[in-house]
Amino acid sequence: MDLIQSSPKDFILYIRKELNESADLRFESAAAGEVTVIYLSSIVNQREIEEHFLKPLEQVRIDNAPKKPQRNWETFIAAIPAKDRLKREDAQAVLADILRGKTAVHLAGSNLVYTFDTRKVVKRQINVPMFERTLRGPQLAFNESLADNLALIRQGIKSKELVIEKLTLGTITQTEIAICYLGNLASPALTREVRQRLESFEIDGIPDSGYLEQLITDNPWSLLPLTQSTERPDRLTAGLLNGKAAILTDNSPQVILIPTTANDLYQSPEDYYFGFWLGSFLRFFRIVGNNIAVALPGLYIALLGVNPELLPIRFALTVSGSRMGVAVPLIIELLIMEVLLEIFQEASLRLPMPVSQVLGIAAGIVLATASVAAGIVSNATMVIVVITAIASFSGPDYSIGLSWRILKFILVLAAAFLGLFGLTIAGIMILTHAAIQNSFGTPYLAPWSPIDFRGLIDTVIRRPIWWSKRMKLYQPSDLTRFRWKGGRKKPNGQEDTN
Amino acid sequence: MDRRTQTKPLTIPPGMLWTLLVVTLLGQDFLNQPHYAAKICGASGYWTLLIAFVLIIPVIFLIAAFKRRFPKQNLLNASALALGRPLALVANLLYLSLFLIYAILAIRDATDLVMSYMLDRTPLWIALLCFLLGSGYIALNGFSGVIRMVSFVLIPTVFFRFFIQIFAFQQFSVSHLLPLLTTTPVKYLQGGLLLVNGFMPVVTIPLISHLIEQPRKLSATIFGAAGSVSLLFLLEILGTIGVFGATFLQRFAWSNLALVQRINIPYLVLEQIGPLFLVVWLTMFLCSMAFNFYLVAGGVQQMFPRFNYRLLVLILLAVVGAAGLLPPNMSLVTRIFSVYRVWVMAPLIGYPLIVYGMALIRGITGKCEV
Repeated sequence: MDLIQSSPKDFILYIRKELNESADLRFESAAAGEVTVIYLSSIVNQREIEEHFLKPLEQVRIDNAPKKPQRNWETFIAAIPAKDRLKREDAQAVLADILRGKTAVHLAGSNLVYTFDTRKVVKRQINVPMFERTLRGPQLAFNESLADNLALIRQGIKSKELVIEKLTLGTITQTEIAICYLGNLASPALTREVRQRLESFEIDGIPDSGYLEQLITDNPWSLLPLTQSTERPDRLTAGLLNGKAAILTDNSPQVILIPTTANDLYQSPEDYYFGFWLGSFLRFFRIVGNNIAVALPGLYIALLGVNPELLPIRFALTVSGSRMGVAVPLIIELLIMEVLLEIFQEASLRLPMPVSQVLGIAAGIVLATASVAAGIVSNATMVIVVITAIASFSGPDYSIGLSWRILKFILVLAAAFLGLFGLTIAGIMILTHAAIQNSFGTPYLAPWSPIDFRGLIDTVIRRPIWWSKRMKLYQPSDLTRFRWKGGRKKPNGQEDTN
Repeated sequence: MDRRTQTKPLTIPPGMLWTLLVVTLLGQDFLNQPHYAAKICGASGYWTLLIAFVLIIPVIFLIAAFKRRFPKQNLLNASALALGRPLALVANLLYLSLFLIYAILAIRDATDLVMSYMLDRTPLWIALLCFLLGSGYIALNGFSGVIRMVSFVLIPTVFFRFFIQIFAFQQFSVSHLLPLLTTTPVKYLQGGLLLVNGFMPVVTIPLISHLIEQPRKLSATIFGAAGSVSLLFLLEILGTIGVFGATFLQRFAWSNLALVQRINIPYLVLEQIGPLFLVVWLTMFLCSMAFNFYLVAGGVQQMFPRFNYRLLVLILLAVVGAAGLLPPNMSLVTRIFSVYRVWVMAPLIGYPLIVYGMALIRGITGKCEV
């Protein structure tokens, strides 16, 4: 603890030295030099300084003229209408407050400093989701401001059970982190584990929630995403209602939801906004799309390159005919196209938005046509690559889609060497890897593995929202989620028995 | 196990045991039950399966009685109590080695099957290596790895096998089946004994009995699993005899696979469904082999706790790999395997019976924890 110097000159020198003569550091002398206002001009609201500090303090001087105002805190503090006043006796605490955008008020002859919240938060406006778009449901996304994000959550859950715990991580960045959960639902073991993991490391900075994801995950070496990140408050609300916990990071629009299963990563919030059949239909084809994206290139290589006897003769002849004149082997042909497609996808993300779409389409069409005409690839391979590329975006979560895009190459190589058998062995090894993962105590492939027949209702198809019980998967403290009020009937006309 | 999350000790509830049994029973079915059934009893060979099921019932009761007497011990602990440590150590090692030999023969036989149907130009060692990689990776992750994989594959594989078996009745001719008893009771008994080996995973339960929850439901769970699988086996035998006839089907070493090859589904993208069926069977087979490796490595580690489980699995894989390459004649291996599969059931059932009998005679019950 560093004592606060009573002399304004000494204190200013101390602050200057500690903050390395920072160019945005400001000292304003008020009330005939009796009060010094200290702040960082880059992160405070300048107008607020003028209106809430300098003008009122000047008024105190005028009111007391021609005498010097008394060195009495009450006189000055009462004059300052700014919010969140804190009394500091430690100079280091004052420094920390200044770095957080607060304004310090030092009175000559006193060893006390008062700080006030004058933060100017630089942020985007609340916008529509960019990566988790839906056709139905709220069109709000988190932004980089922790306060805004917490407000969005509070707006969705007006319950006293909503618990928000804060901590600061990053020895240099001093990033604020918030753990969020519903106290009456989230398992105490889960919240304890989250806290323990967040407090188990020391790092210089947390620029984004992605850092946290990697530091708290159960297996940082796994290719599979063992936590879920979302930019949608409605998804987060649904997660909390299922007994999950969320971690919000200041300066990051992505919120981490835990625990996570592979099944969660295929669920879109709108599955539940549409009716049962529509939601189930959408989800079913999303999962089919994912399976196509993962397995189709491998199957194509296995069936056409190694085990062509499995294909009907006419089909095999047609596809083989389309490869006539192609100079490279099938596996090379497919790998060239897959690698090119990956480069396209990555490049289109970096290009400016208006250019990327046009350029992507133009380059895709031109390149595809030219490659086929030049005999580098066949039409059949082109069809497979394009179907795979489209299908890989059918899932609502980018991370799992990316994981499968990488694993797809392993399957392709296994199929090229050992056909259907190689594909099977590689597939089993990948599945085994997925099956043994855990996310904060929850098996990653649950409810498929370990099998939970009740939980399977909410996998390939969507669980009816009038289902009375919560999933046991996340071990919520209270299983009952829904019940019909007296007199109402279940949709099938039966009396409610819950 | 993940490295951070505190997980509770692994136990096996009835549903999980049922899952494990169904997948391992189907995985260790070498698609040749109809071959043996028809070989012994001809067109009424399907009775042999029913006899085999009846024969396995006393074994189920023995397992349940064993669990009641030794609720917190498995066979390896119980044998030390019933037979004395030195004798139990030798007997246990011999008992576990039976599973190891079984794994060697089974993997070699499966390699033969894969090479016949899928990879006719691939060297044996590559196919063998793939089998060891697949099953070894599951086994390296311990019992939770095995149990999670069998859970995951249960629904898709069982559904697929069931529907394929139904489709296989396409060219079924009832005249190939004889509903009446057409041969001597001794032959039926002989056939039944031959098919009992299809229920081999049931006799592994004493090795994991200390993990099993709700002992009261144990018999019902095993009955349920064996019964469900028997239904599928019965469909196999009925379908194969009904399509090929009892004499003709004996030409096929993997008669059920030959039956599936005959399925003709118009407009299906695949010409043959057989290799797809083989993929499904392979998935189950790899899970059951992983379970086998777990039993042997876990058993050895239990007797010699200083050994590392993963190291033991790797040693087992090396042994199985080396032994799998040794015999030069594939048909000889298949013949040895078929003989071994029949006779191995005697010591596999006999040893728990002896341990239980000795415990009964000496009045020993399991009181201490494993």
